[in-house]
Amino acid sequence: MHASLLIALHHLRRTLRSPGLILVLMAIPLTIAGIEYAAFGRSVATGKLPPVKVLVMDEDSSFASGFVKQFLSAGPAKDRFEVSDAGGLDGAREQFSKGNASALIVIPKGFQQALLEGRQTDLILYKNPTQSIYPEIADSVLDIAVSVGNGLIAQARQPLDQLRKLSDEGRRPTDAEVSAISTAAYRAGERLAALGALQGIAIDVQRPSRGSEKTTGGSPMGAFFGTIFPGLVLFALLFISEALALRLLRDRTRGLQRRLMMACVSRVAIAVGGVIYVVTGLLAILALLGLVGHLLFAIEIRSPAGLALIGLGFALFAAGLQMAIASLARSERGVQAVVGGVVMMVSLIGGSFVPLESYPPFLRAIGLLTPNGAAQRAMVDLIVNAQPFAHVLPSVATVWCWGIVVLAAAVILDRRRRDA
Amino acid sequence: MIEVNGLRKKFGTVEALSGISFHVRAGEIYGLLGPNGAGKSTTIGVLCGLVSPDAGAARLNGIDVMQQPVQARRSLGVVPQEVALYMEMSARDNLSFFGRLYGLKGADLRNRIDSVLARVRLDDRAKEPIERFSGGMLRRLNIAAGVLHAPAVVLMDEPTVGLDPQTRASILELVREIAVDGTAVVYTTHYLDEAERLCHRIGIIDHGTILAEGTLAELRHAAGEREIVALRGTFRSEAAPEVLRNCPEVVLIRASESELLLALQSSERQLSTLLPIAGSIGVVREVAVKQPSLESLFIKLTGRELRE
Repeated sequence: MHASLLIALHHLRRTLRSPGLILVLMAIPLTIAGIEYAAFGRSVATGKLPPVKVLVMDEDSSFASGFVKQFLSAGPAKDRFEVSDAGGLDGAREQFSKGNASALIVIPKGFQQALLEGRQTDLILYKNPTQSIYPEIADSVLDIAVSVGNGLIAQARQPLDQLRKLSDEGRRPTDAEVSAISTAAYRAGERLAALGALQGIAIDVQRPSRGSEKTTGGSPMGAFFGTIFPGLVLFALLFISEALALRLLRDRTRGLQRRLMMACVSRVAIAVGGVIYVVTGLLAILALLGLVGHLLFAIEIRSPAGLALIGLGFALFAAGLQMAIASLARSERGVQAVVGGVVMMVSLIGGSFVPLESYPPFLRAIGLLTPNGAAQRAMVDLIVNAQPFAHVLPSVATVWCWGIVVLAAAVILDRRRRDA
Repeated sequence: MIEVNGLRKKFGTVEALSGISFHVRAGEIYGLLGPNGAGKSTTIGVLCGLVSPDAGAARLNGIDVMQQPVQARRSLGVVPQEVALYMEMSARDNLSFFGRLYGLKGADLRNRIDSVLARVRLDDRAKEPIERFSGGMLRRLNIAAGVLHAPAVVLMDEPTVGLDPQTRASILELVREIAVDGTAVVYTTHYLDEAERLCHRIGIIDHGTILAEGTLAELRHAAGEREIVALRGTFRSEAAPEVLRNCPEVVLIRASESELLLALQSSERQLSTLLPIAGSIGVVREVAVKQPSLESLFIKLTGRELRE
């Protein structure tokens, strides 16, 4: 064991002396997390969709068109839309090309008159062709807004008809007519107020736990990163394990492993030293990334012992995977090609890039059986959902099973290679 | 110090070792000469415990390498042909690691590192990463790593390949110094002049067996003062034994379509009769004569030049 520790420590020292590639690989999860936060983070972290930037071009300049703009910018849709003036079609086109707006709503000339006359009129919606999601959100929200607007018009149909009649006749209304219109408008207002009472119903968004336990996500930002960061870290760990294992492979091709085998050290001690090196290195990097995640992304490190146990199981799997591939491959290039493919496949299926809950059920079930899918699920449950360790035990067991089986396979393959 | 008796090893149908035996005493430099595929590497592999023989025995410093491989390797230092060192580390750190593997530590380890670095004349570069070292410096450090733990037996596998004459000379001097300390050295090389200058005894190996063994003088005597003549051109090689039957003083070593390799008592006297005979089975375009030497003995015994 002394020789194994000596060899492992020696490899760790070498890695510390030339850590360039490891540092670059460590930056992968941090960079991807930062980019995802910049793209979706602030809104996702607060639990709301980001506002859709909408341009409005008012060709009618009437009371009714002003009401539409008011509805979008200050009414019920105010949290969904960020409204600004289009400045003409050319201006809108320029804003589209710069990505500053997702949709343009044109209120056509004659809009108010059409409403007064009870005719159908169209609001024209232009969607930014360079965007995909936000224009569809604008479409959906505007559809709801139009339904509400049509309801309001229906309620106020009587006073509107009276106003249109007076306008058509071109005369001043009598006192009795003013009184009748005022009364009808008041009654419409009462009905609207009754509709307005619906605002008393609110939606209280909750995020219940998967089990029966009470959960907490910590700060919204921490919850966001706590959900995505573990998958990215596990993805990076697989590539870092490749970098660590490649050092051992280079030792083999440069005759260093042979020299160790000719020293007074058993083959088992050399192999165990290699495994200790990769596993210890990965655990150290995992701890470092966890610390950075805590300091930079406000991720709460709950149950550190549980996280360490998950990390150890995953590190055993990663070390075993690399050793197995290195035993089978004939060259460094071969190892890199195979590892790249395997890591990408395992990471995709395991939900490192797309949350597993978005997968169809059969794929989700497969994902949860992969080592990184299970490890990610367990980590998120501990960090974000504040589950007790007992709750994540099945996932931890899955990770450890992978670790032990793959490592055992690697040992057998390595022995076969050396005997050959 | 080194006792090798009747080692046999087959890889599939290929017999790499066919009962090889030799002994090396303390303070002796034993040259193991043989062409590629002769069995040198397999022999060294057995002594290092990397290859298990099918039969025979090998002992290092009295310890059976098959029965107690780790203990046997404690007495063994190996200098591989390739520079097997950690390039990102300094000379001192490399030696420190290899020393610790052999159980050295503390002041003893430090003193030995200082001593061996001085011996290979790298004491002033001890703390530099060795990736900055020249080829000669790396070879010297490669040797230092093999002898740091003062082993009773050192195996050196062509440690001067590709080096300039000056560096080669300094390494040969280093090997002599190591042997003077009482270490048994097995030295494999392609350079016959090195073996002639360095080795106390030489074993010529081919097809997994020792063909001849002894001091340089003994081997020269065994060569029978014969010269080696190479006739190059185009020949009907299958007819060579028949036509040379009439020349009892000429020994056919090897015949191919492009070369006839012969051993003669005196080329000056016999070439005039030999050339017409060779001409009867082909066309002679070139004649090369090698005077009696270790090289001519090697060719006579193996039918091949050492570089083949």
